Amino acid sequence: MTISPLNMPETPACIASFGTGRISALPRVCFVLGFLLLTVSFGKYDWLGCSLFAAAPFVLSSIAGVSPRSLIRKAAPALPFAACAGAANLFFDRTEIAVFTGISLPAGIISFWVLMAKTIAATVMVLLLAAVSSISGICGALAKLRVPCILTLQISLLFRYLELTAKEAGNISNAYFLRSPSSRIIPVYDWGKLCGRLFLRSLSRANAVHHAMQCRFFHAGAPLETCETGSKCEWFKYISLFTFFALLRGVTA
Amino acid sequence: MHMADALISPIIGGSMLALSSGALAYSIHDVRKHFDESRIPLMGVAGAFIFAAQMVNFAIPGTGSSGHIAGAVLLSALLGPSPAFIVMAGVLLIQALFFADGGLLAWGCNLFNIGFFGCFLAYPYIFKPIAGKSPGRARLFAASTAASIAALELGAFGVTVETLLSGVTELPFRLFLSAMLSIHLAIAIGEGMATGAALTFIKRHMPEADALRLEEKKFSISRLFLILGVSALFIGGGVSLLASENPDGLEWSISKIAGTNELQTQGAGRAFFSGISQKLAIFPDYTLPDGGGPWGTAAAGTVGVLICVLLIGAAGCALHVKKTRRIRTK
Repeated sequence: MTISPLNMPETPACIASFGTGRISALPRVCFVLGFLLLTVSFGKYDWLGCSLFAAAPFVLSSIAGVSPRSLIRKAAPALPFAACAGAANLFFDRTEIAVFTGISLPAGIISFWVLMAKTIAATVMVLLLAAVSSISGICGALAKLRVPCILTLQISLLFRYLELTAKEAGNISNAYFLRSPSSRIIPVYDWGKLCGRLFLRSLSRANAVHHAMQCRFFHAGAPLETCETGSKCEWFKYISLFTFFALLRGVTA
Repeated sequence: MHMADALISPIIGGSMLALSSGALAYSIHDVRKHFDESRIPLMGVAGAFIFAAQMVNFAIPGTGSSGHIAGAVLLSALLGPSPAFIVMAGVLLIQALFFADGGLLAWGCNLFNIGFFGCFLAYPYIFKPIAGKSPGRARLFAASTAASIAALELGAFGVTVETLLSGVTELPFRLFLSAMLSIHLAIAIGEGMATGAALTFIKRHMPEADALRLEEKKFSISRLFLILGVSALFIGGGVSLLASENPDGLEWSISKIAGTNELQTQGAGRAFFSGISQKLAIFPDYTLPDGGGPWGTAAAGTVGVLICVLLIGAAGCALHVKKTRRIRTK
């Protein structure tokens, strides 16, 4: 993503119409929400269904041309907390459950795997949605789903300034460590000053943005344009896919 | 503290989503009411600021570990609770979508745990009373630390309860809760000090920063009464239709031990009070005397709520009248 303060200010209509590319994000967003609901609805020991659901986003990513490796790398931070919560099952849930004919495993191991598989399925699917849809497309879909315009506009602006402000924060912390190379982490008493400085810089940027938006006839009260609803073919494709997963959920549970 | 989708069940995720959406709708209504167009980019950039601030870890004194701010108290102190809550909603959605931190279904849980407690409980009821109208450095630090501790500990409690209610972990409640509360206490103290330091810096370099904050409404007892009343009627009359018909924990235990749901009363005193109780009970077992099926339960719930409102209202009025008389006699 390239962000330049010069081309940032836009009317709400421009922001919303960014997502109206050839393929609407609305069916995708609806499909992902449905997939997530199916994923979390699996029982504690439905290891087979969960494993298949964990594999599904990777199959879809290879069809979409998104590197599964990058998805795994991005999903990795989500795993530790789920692992911590699930690790207790290994010790507290010791009843035996038959996995295949003649093979049984402690229930704790199965529920731990189910939790990890659910985490992988849900996280990678959401990351895949983000990889194949622009933020404006997702905001347009949210607007179509009647999410208030103030929130979608806020998300659009937030995402656009994220990289810029994050770079600013990176510069501030880099400058700090260059000035005091012996310290490995910023102490609390200095953190306040750095954070305060970051806020003041962000504020002056917000003022500049607002002035530039006004120059382009920005009117926040006007309703945002929503994204295209999506063609019948797209809806058919995603509904078929969802039906397949719903059937898979029913068969494997 | 971000919960992943896998850690919640659909029922818990849906319930928390409904709760958070209600708070979000209230916030949007509040911001629209005092609408100022210049707030839109301010909120967007403030969201990016809080996101970036979360990336800069600070050392937690005395623990050897590091943490980052959640930001709800800091944002509330800068923008006001309602805009801060909307900003937190945006930040959490972006984190769930692009950074695998949290989840779309868990968004309601995360918004409630991180945003609601900080913006609508810790800030107005802890930060503001301690900070006062023109706080000095010490007051800002005290207010920030107390509010951050309350916000993070309540959030950690929320995470524990939601995870356990979802049934994904076998961790005993006490063990899980003590682990969550203790680690978040250390982080909260660090967050409080960092928030206090940031607010002191901003106040010193930008004295007009108070003008950024959205005017907060005064506490309205009638509004609270209306919200609680409607919620109670909804739960008593509507949600009660979904109530399980299985015996509750005590009845289940008794039935396992004694073989029956209700123990026989023994002795004249117990029989006397049992008789009074049966005569007074207009809705035995939370249903109409002739049954009435699920709608009987709903009717009983609605009437029960109204009786509670009347009794508590009457008690409140009586206390108010007594207090007024005492003041007049003085």
